[in-house]
Amino acid sequence: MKTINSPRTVIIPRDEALKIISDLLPTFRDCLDQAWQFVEQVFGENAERRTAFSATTRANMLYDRMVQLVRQNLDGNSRVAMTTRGRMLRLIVDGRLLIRFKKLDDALRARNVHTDSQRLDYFQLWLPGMEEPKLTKLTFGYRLNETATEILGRYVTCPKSWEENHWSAALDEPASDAMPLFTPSDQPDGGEDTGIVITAKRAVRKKGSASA
Amino acid sequence: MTSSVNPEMIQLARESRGLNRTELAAKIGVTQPHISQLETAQRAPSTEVMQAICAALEYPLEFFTQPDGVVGLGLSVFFYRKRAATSVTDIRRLEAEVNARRLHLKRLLDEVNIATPKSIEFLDIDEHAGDAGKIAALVRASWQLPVGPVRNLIQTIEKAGGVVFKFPFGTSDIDAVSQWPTNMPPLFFINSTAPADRVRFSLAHELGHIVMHQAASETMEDEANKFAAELLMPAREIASELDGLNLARAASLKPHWRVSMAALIRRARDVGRISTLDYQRLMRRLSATGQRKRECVDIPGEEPLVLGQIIEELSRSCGYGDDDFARIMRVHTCDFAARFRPRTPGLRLAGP
Repeated sequence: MKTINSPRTVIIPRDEALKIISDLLPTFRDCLDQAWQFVEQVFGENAERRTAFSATTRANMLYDRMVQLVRQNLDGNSRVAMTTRGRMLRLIVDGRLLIRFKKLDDALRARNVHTDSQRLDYFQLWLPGMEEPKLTKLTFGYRLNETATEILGRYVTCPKSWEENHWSAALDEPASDAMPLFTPSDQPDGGEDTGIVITAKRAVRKKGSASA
Repeated sequence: MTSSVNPEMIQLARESRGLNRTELAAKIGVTQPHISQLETAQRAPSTEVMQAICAALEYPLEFFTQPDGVVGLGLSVFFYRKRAATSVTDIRRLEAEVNARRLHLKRLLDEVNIATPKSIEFLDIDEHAGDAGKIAALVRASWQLPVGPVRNLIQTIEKAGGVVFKFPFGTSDIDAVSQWPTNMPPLFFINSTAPADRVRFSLAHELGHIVMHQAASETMEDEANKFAAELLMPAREIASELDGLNLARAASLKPHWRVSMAALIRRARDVGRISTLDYQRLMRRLSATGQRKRECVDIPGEEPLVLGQIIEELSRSCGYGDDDFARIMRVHTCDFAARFRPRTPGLRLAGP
């Protein structure tokens, strides 16, 4: 696929891109946060589920739920066209931006398998004959803390290569170094019949006390 | 009247209120040596002094006539005191509180019969080739614990006849202590202000002492830790889950196994699933992110049931109210309420 090395010459600058999607960002954020809560609920019902699934699987679950919510929320929005490549949802906004959703690492890079197809989809490349115009490709992404228990930040990035971005924008205040407390909802067993039998040695009621 | 006063009870009552001898002396208008002589049985208290002590320390006279002796905090605290910075006053207050609660239970046990489905047996570690992990496996087997995590360690211990007390220790340096007094069940005291993961491991550690140790030795702390690790994280069951452990994986395993991430990391090293270098790196990361004292993933605490069930049974069968329990325990009603009413799950009072 040598022909995909045709870079788009003009990348929409950060501030302009953020302005274009400013009304969509709250939706993206809400969908991400709701998806996170949904996955936590799934795992919170049974702590063993956390041990059974890898971080990748959890990210996929989050992604699938988020995509479902984004579809529901943006269905019928005349500015947004939704397309898919494989299982990836891609939003084309105003015919100028192509947005995908990804989990990011500490350097705000998506962890993809390094294929030509991914390069074409992710970076600012264009293949002659593609149906889509030369779109500026953005990622709406999130970064987790080291224990994967909290979303540290939400970002929009404009990827340049596997190693760097043309630009990126943090959508949250800088995260504190302190890790927030995370309490899974799964409770210890308790309250059931323990098999312990306790009986009074002298089952004589005091005068005037109520009967059991 | 005062010749029946037990000098040890004067000291216990004073320390349970966090007073030193000088402070008590000032409160009741005698000299510090006077208090010292009372507590060391060199002098019998006069009626007037004893009334003043009762008023100052807020215990009824009957508390001071209990014939029981004071029991120390046990083996863990013996070693703990070598390294911790907690003041002697705090230790004494905790020791007094533990003894007071032990005496309360002793009085309650005079009133009830308790039958439990399992029992705690002493398994001398010297007769098991010093293998604490093997003893923990035997305990798991004899208690018929299912494969996997111990879902509720407090109830597991209570089902085996132990009695667990949960209250604030007034120090964050000690999570749990244990005693096995003569003619009583094994007693476990846990710090209600400590994180639940630490309490579980400390409770398992104390169980290890109760099961394996009768006398102190240089190796007993290490043995109790190995016992606790195997009881809560059996090597055969958890090892495969610890391959290539990182913090995110530890955070995922913690809610299931209900142990701290630090304990999981240590276990991963001990069962050979991560290198010592990786272990050190992960522990440094826990420190760097402020998680050595309280980890970012919390687990729900467990609650003792037996004490509440005893009180419930006596309320139901005998119609006892707070005043009756206070009389049985030889304390004032407000002390009974403070010690037993805040946390008595499932408690329902009988009453008109």
